[in-house]
Formats: sequence, structure tokens, C-alpha cells
Amino acid sequence: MNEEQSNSSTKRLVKILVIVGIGIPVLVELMTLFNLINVQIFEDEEDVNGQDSNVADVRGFGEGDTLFADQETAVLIDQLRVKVSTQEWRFVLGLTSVDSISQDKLQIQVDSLILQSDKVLMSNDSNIWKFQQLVPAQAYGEWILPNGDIPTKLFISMYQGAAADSTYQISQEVPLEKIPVRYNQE
Amino acid sequence: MTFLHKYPKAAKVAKANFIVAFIALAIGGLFGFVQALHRTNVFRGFINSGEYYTLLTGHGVLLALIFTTFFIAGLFVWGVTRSLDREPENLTFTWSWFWLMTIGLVMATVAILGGLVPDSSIRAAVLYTFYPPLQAHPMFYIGLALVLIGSWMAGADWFWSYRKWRADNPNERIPILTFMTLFTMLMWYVCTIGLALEVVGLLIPWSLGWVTEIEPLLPRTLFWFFGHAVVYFWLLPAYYVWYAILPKLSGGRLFSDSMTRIVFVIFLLLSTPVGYHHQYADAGISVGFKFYAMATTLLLLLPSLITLFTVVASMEHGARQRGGKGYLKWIGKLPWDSPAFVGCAFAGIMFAAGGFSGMINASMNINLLIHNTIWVPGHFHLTVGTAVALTFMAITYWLLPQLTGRKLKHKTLALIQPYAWFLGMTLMSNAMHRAGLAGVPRRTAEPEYMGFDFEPIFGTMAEMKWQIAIGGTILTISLILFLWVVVASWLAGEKSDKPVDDHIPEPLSGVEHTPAILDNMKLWFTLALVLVVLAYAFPLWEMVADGIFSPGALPRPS
Ligand code: HEM
Ligand SMILES: [Cu+2]
Repeated sequence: MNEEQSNSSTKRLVKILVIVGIGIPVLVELMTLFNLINVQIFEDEEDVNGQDSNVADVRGFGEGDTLFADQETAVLIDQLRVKVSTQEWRFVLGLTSVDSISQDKLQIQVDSLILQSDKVLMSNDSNIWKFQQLVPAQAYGEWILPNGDIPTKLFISMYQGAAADSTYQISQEVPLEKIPVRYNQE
Repeated sequence: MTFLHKYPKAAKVAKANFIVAFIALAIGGLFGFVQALHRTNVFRGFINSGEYYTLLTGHGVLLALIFTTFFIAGLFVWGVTRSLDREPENLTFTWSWFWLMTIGLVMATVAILGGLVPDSSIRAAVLYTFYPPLQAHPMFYIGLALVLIGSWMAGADWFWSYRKWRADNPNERIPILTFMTLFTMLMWYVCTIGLALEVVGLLIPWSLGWVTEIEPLLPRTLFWFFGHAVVYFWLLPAYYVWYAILPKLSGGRLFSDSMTRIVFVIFLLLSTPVGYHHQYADAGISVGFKFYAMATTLLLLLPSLITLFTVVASMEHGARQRGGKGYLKWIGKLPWDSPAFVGCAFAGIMFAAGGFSGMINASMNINLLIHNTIWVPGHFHLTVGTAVALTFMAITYWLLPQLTGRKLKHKTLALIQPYAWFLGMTLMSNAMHRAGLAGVPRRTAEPEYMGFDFEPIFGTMAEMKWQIAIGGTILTISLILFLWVVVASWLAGEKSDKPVDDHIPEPLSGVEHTPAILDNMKLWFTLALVLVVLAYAFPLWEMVADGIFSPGALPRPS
């Protein structure tokens, strides 16, 4: 009696297991096959091409791109990284001015950072957020980020003492491309 | 009387190997779970992306290198002892290879896990392929070298038993379980030449700072000299189970003894000369040599197709013994309520699927479509991650009672386990393959680029991510079930003189029909070496001519 009962309950279990454990996999694979064939044979190619050009439009700034491109004092992004160690996430930004003609008193400041999590980091501490003196032609800054977060956009301003008395300022909004996360061996 | 009572010493050795294997499986599996959630962005609270590579290295090394090697050692100890009817010849020797491998494994693992300790200088986030330019702490390489030496000694141990047995039985054919063990180990000796040269000759001196510059192509080539054959080192023990034990579990007998031996001979011959097929995208190897590797690789389909035929034929025979009829209806008569059988059968089915994506990997031109994408992990979770790992788990349900003298506990959970693995792996692997076709890279915690959208052939990126995460979670549950059943049975299973039916019947077409030449190990081993020299001499010579020993030099026209 007992033996029989456990036998029939095993049978039921096997039935359920076969339906779930084999049925779902078979279904998933059949759907994959169907979709692949469907796309290859019946779908228009043009859709895909249309998407392509859209994608290029929203491309953000990355290493090798130029900031203030329409200005006399354009600067090149030569480093844009997130450096990671087991303990902290740091955002690293390195800038180089494009031509090295006298640019005394040029200052660049990161005003704020927008992060992937929609957090905003403001530049309340000027020491941390400023690149002092972009002469000679290179500047570099690092900022600690909340663990796991990545900047998506930065607001950056440039000040230039053009004449002795007047200061010239422009700001730019810089949407960023996906920043490479690099592991720090040190 | 079961194995434990007949061969208590060998049982102890096999159990020790299994304990290590299962601990590695537990830790490595946990890492896999974390990765699956992290890289899909489903849950990122366990680690940050910088630690991902440490975890990924731990996952690959602990599962693909440690779990497999130790499980295989335990399995072979069981099979050699049983089929030759001899305990190990010298227990001091036997335990010394076990402890050497264990010390090596602990060193390598400590080096990897050091990466999770803040400010530790000990780290080894080099992934399980560990070739330059990524560099690990010397302890990692030295540990791996010890595991390797230990595995050589283990092989020597089995050859030793065989020698002794041969002296007593000069006219007998090599028993099939021992035959498969010895041929697997012969292949291991051939392919590990490359690994030993790489680790001892290049990586250890480099990590110690004695050598500062290395041309990456050379260690890569030496690694892949080993790196394809190693997949057969994992797979052949699964074949061993499918040939020798699965027919019995399905209620029948092995279909053909000679087919089995032929397959192992072909693997010994062809496993190593195909290594270049992992280097289709490497500059510095002429395309003609790559083409040669491709042709040889496709030849390797043959023994796997023979295996498919023989194993399915054996299962059909079993099902008919149990009353199965018809062309396909017999399938329903297979023991779908036996965890050991179900696990092996699913492993075989998944291996067939892995074979299909493997053909795409092997074909030089379409390989470039999926090279270094998540397609590749999708592929090898079917092969090593299921065909091998699920077979090992399943056969544990049958071996463990023999080794511990205890009956299996929680049979229901044990039965759910392979079904869950099959479901979870289908979900995870299917989505990995599809994501790979869309170009999603492997080996990264941050697989997306901003300002660039992947274009899935169909479906959406989000849907694939969820499928990977859900699949990975089901796999993890399956793994926990397995470990739970093993621990509970081991500690508290009911003691019994005959905890499981461990009789293995003779093959349908037995050894009397098998040509004697198949047992000629010297012949096949020599031929294997010749084929390796033919395959590797020219490309290596080309590399030397191109200046591989003067790293940093400008490329010379050749
Ligand atoms: C709980 C089950 C498992 C899960 C959830 C899992 C998950 C993963 C994931 C998501 C990756 C890809 C990571 C990446 O490329 O970024 C991976 C890689 C890998 N897995 Fe698994 N896995 C599991 C079981 C296994 C098993 C059983 C094996 C082998 C016996 C295995 C061997 C590997 C190897 C060799 C890699 C490649 C590591 C590398 O690229 O260096 N996995 N796994
Ligand atoms: Cu391969």
C-alpha cells in the first residue's frame, strides 16, 4: 500500500518535472528557431538600417573628443575613465589643450556631474573640482564616486583672462559615452 | 558487499578527491550566480565591477580546472581499482599526489581570493586562461604547477597498477574502465607538455620578475596547445560514464566494446593538434595553419557522432529490455525517475546542442562573428558546464553509495536536480547565444557601451538579460539541491551492505570482437606525438623566425 502510494506520487512528480523541465526548454528553443527563420526570411532589412543612423546621433563624448571645439582654446579629452580598486571608484578626467599658444590664465572647472543613478554631484568644493591653470597645456583630475556609479554627463566651464580686466567664460554640457571601467592593479 | 567493503583504501582516496571537488563546485557555483546577476544588472550588491574579474577567475579555475580534475581523479581511482581488482600499489605514493594537488589548489585559490581583500598585494585576476599580458601573483602559477605535477603522478599511479595487473594477466585484454582511464591520461601527458612549458618556462619567471618582457603570442600558443585537449580531458571521463555506466542505468548493456576503444584512440590522436582553432583571431599565425586546425577539428566530430550512436543504441537496448516498443516509444520506458540516469541523459542531449554551436566556433570564417562574445560561454556551459558537470553530479548519486556504504537520501530532491539544471541551462545558454549574436562581449562586468545600442536579431536586450539571470538562478538552486543531497547522504544515509545495484553487465558486442591493435598504447602514443609535431613544428618555427624571442622588436617582414 505504502509502496504503491509513493510509486504513484513519484509518477506524478516525474510528469510535472517532464512538463516543466523538458517542456519549457523545448518551447524556448522552438521559439528561437521560429524567430530566427522569421527574421531572416520575412523581415525587412530597412528597419535595421534606419535604426543605425539614430544610434550615431546620440553618441556622447569619449576619449579623443574635443571640448569647446568652436572656441579658440579647444581642449582634447585624453583620459576619461572610471578607475576601480577593491575599495573605491574614482572618476578620472585628463585634458590637453589642442594648440599650445599662450593661454595664460586659462582655467577649466567641472561644475557638476550627473551619474547613471541620476545623482548629481555639485562642485561645492572648488579645490577638488578645478583644473588650475591649463598651462602647460595639460590637466588632470580625479573624483571619488559612489561605489558602482558612472557619470553620464558633465557640465564644464572655461574661464579665460582674455584682457587684463575682463574674464571670459563659457560653459558646455557634455554628455558622455559609456566610460570604460578599469581595474587598478596597485 | 560494495566498493567500500572490497577496497577500503581506494574508497578513501576516491572520497578525498570528491570532497575537494565538491567544495570547489560549491564556491565556483556561487561565483557563477553572482556573475550572472551582476553582469545583467539585475543585482549588483554583492561586488563592485572591479572585483568581477577576481570572481570570474575563481569561477573558471575552481569549476573548469579544479572541480573537474579532482572529480576525474576520484572517478578513475574507482574505475581502475574495480576493473583491475587491485587496491592502489603504494598508498604513500597515492596520498602524496592527492596532497600535492590539494596544496597546489589551495595556493592558487588563495591567490585568487586575495583579490577580494582590500589592499592585498596577492591577486590573480587573470581568468582561467591565465596567459599574459594579465599577470598574477607567483603563488597562483606555482600552485597550478603543483596541481599539474600531482595529476601526472596520479596517472603514473594508474599505469603502475596496470603494469602489476599485466604481469599477473599476460594474455587478457585491458579491461574497458582501465582502457578509458589510460588513454585519457596518455592524452593528458601529450597536451600538458605545452602547459608545463608555459607555466614553468615563462609565467613563473615572469611573475617573479626574472624576465620582464614576454611576447604574448608564445604563451598563448602554448596555452592553447593544452587548451583544446583539456576540454577532452574533461569530456572523456563523461564519455567513460556514458559508455560504461549509463547503459546499465538504462537497464541494458553497452552496445559495442570496440566502438568505445576506437573513440578513445581517435581522441588521443586528434585532441592536441587542433589547438590553433582558439587562435583564429591571433595575428602571427599564418592562415594556412589555422585552416589545417579547422579541418582537423571538424574531423573530431566523428568520434562524438560515434559516441552519440553507441550511447543511444545502448539506451534503446536498455529500454527494450524494460518493455519498450516502437521506433520512438521506447524512450518513454527509460527510467525517467532515476536521478543518475536522468542527469546523464540530459547531459548527453545538451552535449549534442553544444556540438552544434561548437561547429560554428570551429569554422574559421563564422567564428569571427561570435569571437569573444557571450556566445562562447553560452557554448561551453553546454559542454563542460553541463555535459561534463551534470554527468559528474548524476553519477555521484550512483557512486557515492558505493564509496560510503550508505544509501542515497532525499531521492525526490535528487530527482528534481537534473531537471532543474536542464531548465536553467537552457534558459541561460539560449540567451547567451542570442546575446552573443548581437555582439555582447564576454568577460566583462559592464557589457554595455553608451551611445551604442546592441541590435538583437530578435527579442530585446532586457529580455535576454532577464533570461540569463533567471537561468543562472535556477542553476544555482539545482546546485544547492545537489550539494544538499550529497552532504545529507554522506553524513546520515542509511548504512547498508548493498546500498546500490553496482553490477555492470558485459557489452553486447564484447572485447572478443575488438581488434587487438586498439590496445597497443605505444603505437597510439607515438602516433599522437608525431601528429603534434607535424601540427606545431611549422607554426612555432614561423613564430621564431618572426622574432618571438625578441619581444618589443618591430615586426619583421617574413
Ligand atoms: C550555477 C551555475 C553557473 C552559472 C550561473 C554560471 C554563470 C557564468 C557566467 C554568467 C559566465 C560569464 C561571465 C562573463 O563572461 O562575463 C560564466 C563563465 C564561465 N563559466 Fe560558468 N556558470 C555556472 C556553472 C559553470 C560550470 C558547472 C562550469 C564548468 C564546469 C562553468 C565554467 C565557466 C567558465 C570556464 C567560464 C569562463 C570564465 C572566463 O571567461 O574566464 N560554469 N559562468
Ligand atoms: Cu577547442
